[in-house]
Amino acid sequence: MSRQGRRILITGVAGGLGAALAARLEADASVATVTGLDLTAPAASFTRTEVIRGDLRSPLVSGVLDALDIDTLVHLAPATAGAAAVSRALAKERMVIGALRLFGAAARARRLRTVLVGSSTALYGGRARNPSLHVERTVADAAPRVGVAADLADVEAAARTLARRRPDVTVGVLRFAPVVGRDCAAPLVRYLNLPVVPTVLGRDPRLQLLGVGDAVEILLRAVAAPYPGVVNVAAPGVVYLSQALRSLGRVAVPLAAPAFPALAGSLRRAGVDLDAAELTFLKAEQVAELSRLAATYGVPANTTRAQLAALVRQTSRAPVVQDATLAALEQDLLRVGVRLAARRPGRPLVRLVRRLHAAVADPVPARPGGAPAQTGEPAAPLPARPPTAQAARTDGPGVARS
Amino acid sequence: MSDLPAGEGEVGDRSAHGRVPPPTRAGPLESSEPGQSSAPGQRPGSLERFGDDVAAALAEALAAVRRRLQGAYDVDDFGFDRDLTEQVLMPLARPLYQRYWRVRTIGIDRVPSAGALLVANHSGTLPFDAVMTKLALYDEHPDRPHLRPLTADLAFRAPLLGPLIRKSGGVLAHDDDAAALLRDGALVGVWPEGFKGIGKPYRERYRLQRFGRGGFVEVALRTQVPIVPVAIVGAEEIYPLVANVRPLARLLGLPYFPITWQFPALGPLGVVPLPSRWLIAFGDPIPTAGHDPADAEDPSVVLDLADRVRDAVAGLLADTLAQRPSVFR
Repeated sequence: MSRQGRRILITGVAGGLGAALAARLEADASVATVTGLDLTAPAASFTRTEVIRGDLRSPLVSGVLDALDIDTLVHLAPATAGAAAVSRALAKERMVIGALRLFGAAARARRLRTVLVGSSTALYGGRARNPSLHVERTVADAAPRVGVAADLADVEAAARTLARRRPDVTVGVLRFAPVVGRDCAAPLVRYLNLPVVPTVLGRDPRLQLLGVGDAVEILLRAVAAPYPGVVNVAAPGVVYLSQALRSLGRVAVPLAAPAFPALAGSLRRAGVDLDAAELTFLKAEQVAELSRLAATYGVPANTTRAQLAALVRQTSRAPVVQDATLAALEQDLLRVGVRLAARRPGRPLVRLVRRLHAAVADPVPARPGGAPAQTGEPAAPLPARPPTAQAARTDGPGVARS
Repeated sequence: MSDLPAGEGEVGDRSAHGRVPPPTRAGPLESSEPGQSSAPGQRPGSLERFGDDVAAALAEALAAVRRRLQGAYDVDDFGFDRDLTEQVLMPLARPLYQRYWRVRTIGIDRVPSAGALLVANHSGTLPFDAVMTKLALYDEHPDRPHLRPLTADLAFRAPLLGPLIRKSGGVLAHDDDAAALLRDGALVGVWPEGFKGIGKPYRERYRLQRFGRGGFVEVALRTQVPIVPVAIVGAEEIYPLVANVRPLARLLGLPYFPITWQFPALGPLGVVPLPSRWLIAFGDPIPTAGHDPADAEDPSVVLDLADRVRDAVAGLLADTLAQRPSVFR
């Protein structure tokens, strides 16, 4: 069922993920046109992709879908929302009303066959009663009714409505973990790059990441053969926030939760929007379970820790706590010990301290990720796509061949 | 630093830098081997060997500290931090286990090394019984498994405590979490009496409370793992609970507000538990493989099995209690 000359519209193309996807799609000869739609002009320059600047809420959108004969709509705006710090009310308006308008137009677009919605695992946030790992169906009983999580729930509800109205259109929802990588100046990355990082006192949330390269790879697979339904998309494994901050050499400042609203203003000026989907994990963990991803698009080989290591290499801000500082501190401690012990030579204690000194004298190895020369994302490729998904695709959705 | 070199030839060279006097050595850490003299004219005495052991241990500890400071460790998807648990938390709890409560285990080899649901009685006002059971399995079971205790959401909501429980292997008492762990071959512990058991008055000690609707049996049936009954004797006496101040509990959002023999009468000292003698007995596993996984949907099968497990725990508890000569011996 290879569709020659696909005509693809990507919303949120100014974000790092949207831009990277457009760049890959325009390089694919089997794609006829790639059109990007966003409020702001993307920083990346494209060869073939045409960028339309506009608001999803405007009536312009409905015209675009039919005028350009779009057959594949990749709605990434919700996943990248929060990249630009705007007021909460405006962000909600853009995300929810924008999606309603877009899907309303999509329901009438004649050539449309595939709709992919970039949602976020922020949807799961909220309650202590939630399981440690959220499976895709969890949201039915756990969807919080506040903040960006509620907005995402509304967007997904609109997507379900579209799927119901247009049975001939495959609607796939991808719930992305926070996407990190080159050109992804997402709120999470900016948060992790603060010189001193405020954390919630007494909490240590688990964090799941996704490399932008892996995210694009999965989106490409989804464009080629969409799974009709919701799929969690994240790198395997988790890190604790405390662990992530230590890897980056940051100083965490635990603050009581009520102090955060007071900080929100100054953090926003620093580009860190606490209301952004990616930062809701500070208050509520949202680790996604990946067995459906494994069965559909394939789980990325790069773990969350590998992504964190990549982030360490890419980050522009030097760690506050340097590896060398740690090593020097250790050496100083031992040197004092040696000097003290030297007053009573010949004693076993002296030899003990010397030996200890010798044992830890080797230089501190680099932070996870190793060689400084290595940059960019970890290069491990995605595993081959599970054969079942391919088979399901060639058979066509819902058709059992006997 | 993933790990410090265990037996290293090159270490001696590095120590020569700086103002450090070159060690009089015959290989820094290797000299712990008997018969190898570390300095000319020195007899390799036991103190010497002890010193080397300490040096190795300290170097390892420093490496561990550095690993922690660099965030170079793995945690599992549920947040279990093996490094922290084995290096920091368990050593803290071990004196309680070995010296204070002098825990004795009975029949620990009946516990399969993987993929089983342990069902125990709950008591003691604070859940030390879960901590001790975890330590018993890690220290005394030949395969040194890490028990994953199912924990009330209240504990996870508590600041500081919540992350600590998660890092030590606790997971929320949620069917999805328990089933995922059991399928992975973990040992999962459940205390089905819940707050009814742990917050019961001292006069009702060793009287097993209701087991709820048997949600734990459903999970065991679905994942086809055996259920191991566990009886914990001794936890009842650590904080003998005299009364429960209900209005205060409601105000604080707690399931109970305990008045114990020590608390609040002894003030801050009231948090010190009493040194009762503990016994933890593990019973014969009750297989679920004979059932159809679909039986998890059948309330009559589930409740029957839950009753069987409860009877097993109650019987084991009575037997074990009879084996203890007195509360403190």
